[in-house]
Amino acid sequence: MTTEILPPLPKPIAPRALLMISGIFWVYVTLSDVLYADSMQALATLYHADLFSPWQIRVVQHVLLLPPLLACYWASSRAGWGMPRGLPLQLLLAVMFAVLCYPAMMLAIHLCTWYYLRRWALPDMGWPSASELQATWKASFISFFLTYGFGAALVSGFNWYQRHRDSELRGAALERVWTTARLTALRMQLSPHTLFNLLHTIRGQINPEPEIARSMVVQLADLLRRLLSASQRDFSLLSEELGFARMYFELQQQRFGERLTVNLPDAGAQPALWVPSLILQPLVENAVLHGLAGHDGPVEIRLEVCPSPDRLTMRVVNTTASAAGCAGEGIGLSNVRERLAVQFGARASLSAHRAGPASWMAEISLPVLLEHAPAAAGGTP
Amino acid sequence: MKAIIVDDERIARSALRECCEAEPDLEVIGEFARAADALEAIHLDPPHLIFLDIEMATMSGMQLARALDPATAPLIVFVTAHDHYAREAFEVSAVDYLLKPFDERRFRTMLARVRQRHGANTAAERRAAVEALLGQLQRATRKVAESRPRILADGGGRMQMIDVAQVELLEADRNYVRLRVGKESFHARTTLRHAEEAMSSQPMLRISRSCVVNVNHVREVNRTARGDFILVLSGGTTVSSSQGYRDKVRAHLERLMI
Repeated sequence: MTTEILPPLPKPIAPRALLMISGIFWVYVTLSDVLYADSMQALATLYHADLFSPWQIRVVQHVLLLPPLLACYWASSRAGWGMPRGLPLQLLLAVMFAVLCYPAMMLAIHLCTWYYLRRWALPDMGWPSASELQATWKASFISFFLTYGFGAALVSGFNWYQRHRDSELRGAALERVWTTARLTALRMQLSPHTLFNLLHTIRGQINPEPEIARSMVVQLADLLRRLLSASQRDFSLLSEELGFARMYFELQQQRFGERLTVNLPDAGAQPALWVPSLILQPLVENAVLHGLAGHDGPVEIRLEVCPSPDRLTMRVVNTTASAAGCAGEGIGLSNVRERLAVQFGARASLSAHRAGPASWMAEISLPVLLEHAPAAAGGTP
Repeated sequence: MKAIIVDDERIARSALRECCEAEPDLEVIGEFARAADALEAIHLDPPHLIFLDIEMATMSGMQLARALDPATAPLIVFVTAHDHYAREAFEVSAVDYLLKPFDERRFRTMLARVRQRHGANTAAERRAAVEALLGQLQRATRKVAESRPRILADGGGRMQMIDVAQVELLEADRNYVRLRVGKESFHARTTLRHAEEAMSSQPMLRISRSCVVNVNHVREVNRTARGDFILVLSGGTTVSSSQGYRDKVRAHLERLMI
């Protein structure tokens, strides 16, 4: 499943891109070589010497060299630069290409004279001497070796850039997959705990009060239905979230009767703000659990919602047994903290602390999330 | 009122019968485990009211309801565990909708509406019944809109929730996905794939490697000389299909036109 969501691993450069980069580079090299040779030739005529071949010959030489160049760059992009094979292979390719350049020049001279004179002969300059041949071969080798190097750098650079970009995309996708998986896992952790506690309560009611047990089953079904639909979404409306808390408290009140007093804001009177689905659930559950623990007196739970223009603060306050110690943060609270961090980074926070001698407070603060209102009406189908 | 119960589960039928027996004006004249048997019985001795389960093995409750003549059909109350049939139920002019599990209180609330509808003899009474039905339908529609996923995205310097039905276009943009809504654009920190998944309730069409269009928002389709498609979206944005996706886009658009 994971591999399906991720983009493919970085691949070496595509043949089309290679062809394009090498082609443009080679046109540039041809032009600069021809222009350079022409201007040098103008200088050489002052000494009545034919040092540089005419431009037609140069162009033919570069055209002849294009296929070996492409082959070398293709091999080079496959070989890479990794040690121990990479660097020697690259050097070998460069030398192979550079060695070919002088023979290509000779071939070009033959082709051109054949084309212009309709016979297979050398121009009037005659055969160069051995020392001349050696000197020109060396000059051509060095010049084309360097040129090849520039092109190879260009191709490798593009290749590297592409790989880097692909791996960055892959990294982002990985992060997202991980986040989604974690969110799903976190949400799933919330429900079973609640469910089994309530099932146990209902089981206890079946014999003494079948009527109440029946209505509790219906309430639990409503709660589960909401839980299910909320867990399938990342965000819910604040009013839904409060409705959910109300259902949960109603069920718990059946359980604890007079001991539990709950103060809830009116769900219907809330502005249309969005909050992460089920973000209040662990706080509400903790308030009931810790509020009732360690004593048998009455417990009061108060849920407050304070929206400001840019921040929404939600607070769950419960009375506790005055002697109750400060236990470590439970799994519920750390879940909430983690979810807020994943979705909002530093823009949201959760704090849980003692708010008086016999009361405990958990507070979530997050950016106000409004539904985007479309500018023009009639956009919604 | 004469009523029949159609449900393939015995215990579910008896729970419903128990509820009916507590009502003096309700008389259960038949219980059926199979929709086909019920259909036959309805033709022989038409009841006033049917309690109908939707998901049954051979013939579904929805099929049974469609097989009835709307002019003479009895009042139908769907009894089901799934709440996503609400809109479909109103299409076959069900009078009400009872979610399993239910208790006596909900059963009586439902029955009050059925009685109102059954006893609607004057024009005013009938209008009131229709209005109640419309109200229910509106609630169901709103619920669908509210349960549509929202995407959290940055735009105009703050985080906003975007209804997927309003998103016209998704575009991959480095580590972000750009959402186009009307003339505005937003950034969501997600991948194109994930955003597309969140948009699954909408008819989405991929037109290039980095671009997915919500077909509901396509206002105009043009073609270039090369055969690529140019789509104009409701917000005025223009996007064109890439060569690789040209055939897929054409196939999709042709299907839409039929």
